Amino acid sequence: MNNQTLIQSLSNNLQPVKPTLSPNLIALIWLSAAVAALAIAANFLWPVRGDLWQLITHNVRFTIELINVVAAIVMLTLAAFRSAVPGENSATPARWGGLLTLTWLAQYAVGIWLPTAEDRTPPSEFMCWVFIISYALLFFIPAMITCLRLYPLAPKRTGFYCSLAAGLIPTAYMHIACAYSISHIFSAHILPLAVLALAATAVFAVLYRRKQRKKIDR
Amino acid sequence: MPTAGRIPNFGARAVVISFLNTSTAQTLYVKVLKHFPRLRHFNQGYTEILVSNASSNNAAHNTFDADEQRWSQWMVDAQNGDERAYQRLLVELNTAIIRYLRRRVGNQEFIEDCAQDILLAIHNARHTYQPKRLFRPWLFAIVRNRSIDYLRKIKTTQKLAEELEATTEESISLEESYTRTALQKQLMEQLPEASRAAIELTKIQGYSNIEAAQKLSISESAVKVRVHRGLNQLKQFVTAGFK
Repeated sequence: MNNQTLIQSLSNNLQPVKPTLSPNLIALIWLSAAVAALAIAANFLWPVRGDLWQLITHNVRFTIELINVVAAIVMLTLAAFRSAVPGENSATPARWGGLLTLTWLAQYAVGIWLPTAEDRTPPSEFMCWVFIISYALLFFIPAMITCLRLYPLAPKRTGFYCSLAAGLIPTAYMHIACAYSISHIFSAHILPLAVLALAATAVFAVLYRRKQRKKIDR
Repeated sequence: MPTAGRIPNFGARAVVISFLNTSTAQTLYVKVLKHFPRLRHFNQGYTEILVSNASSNNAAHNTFDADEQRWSQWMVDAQNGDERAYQRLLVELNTAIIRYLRRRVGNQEFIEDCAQDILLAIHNARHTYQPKRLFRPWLFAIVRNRSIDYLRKIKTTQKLAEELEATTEESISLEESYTRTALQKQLMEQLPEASRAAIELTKIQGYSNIEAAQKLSISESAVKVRVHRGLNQLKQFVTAGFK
């Protein structure tokens, strides 16, 4: 098939398509939905800690950690949806998202020696794993479907940003809802996040490849 | 006046002239002229070249803008289902892509195939173009990404072909048959699923076209088409590899 024949076949019976929304708007909608879902969780499943307001107003490091992780989520969400649209600048938010995630982790690492808040007896690790994984999947699946419907040029990267953003949301919620114990944070909040991010990235890449093959076969 | 807005380079003044031909020197000269307009009379030739450079730059810029606007409009029309606008767009993009690839990788045989891959990607991604945004960054992202993917694919095929070429008569043994199976498998993996299944059934497992059609729940002619396409693709992979 030469290029002229291909052009002819592509333009024959051309179906109208609806242009996608701006990736920034999609990111905003997705984040708002995630916050709404977390608000439900806060009311019914796992309420925020009782001394949250006091911690925010009196403990600067705690507040900085919270702002840091929220900023990382925003940047990674932007990076995820922008990277699924060709020509959009995803490198800048991705760079900021990565940097903010690293500084957020570094603050916990510092917390090993100088804890930010008072150590309290944490709940069972299993509960935290279940909460984080289930909520992360709840956020990741719609994000993945949306990104796959767009056109991610670097699917692994898009999948990684999506899964990291989706996983960071419940992990950040745990920051204000669960006990502040560094060993618990690493084993029951950050570890499930890492596991999910890697597994979800792989799933995203596999689904993307399958979708591309189907298109070629057609 | 010299053509293409360049100062003619003659003799011992080569070094000075090559500096004067740089855009830095020309920008500097324009700035100096603003403050000392009388200099224009002392260096009439250079000023004329600058004027001609500026006009040719403007012309190039205008063409660039015109392309941008036209392509953007055609893509918007294509999103609304306008076949003619889409065809025009793809024809122009095909030329632009081939020109771009030739500039980047030279006049290679695979350029047409690579352009086809890119056109398909543009077709599949056409819903992601937002009319309010510039067309060129969207297009360039696809062209760049797909051409890199294509070159990687070719590189893998070349590697496979080199391995095949390096096989000697002496290596025909149990070990060799294993290598050939591995190579065969790797080549087959590059085929689309539909063609692969059809070839595996008819050419490797020895089923007839009718039997393969029954197994795949498709018509006999569809099997023939898939086998034909698959074999052609395999031929291309190996040929590209040997080249």
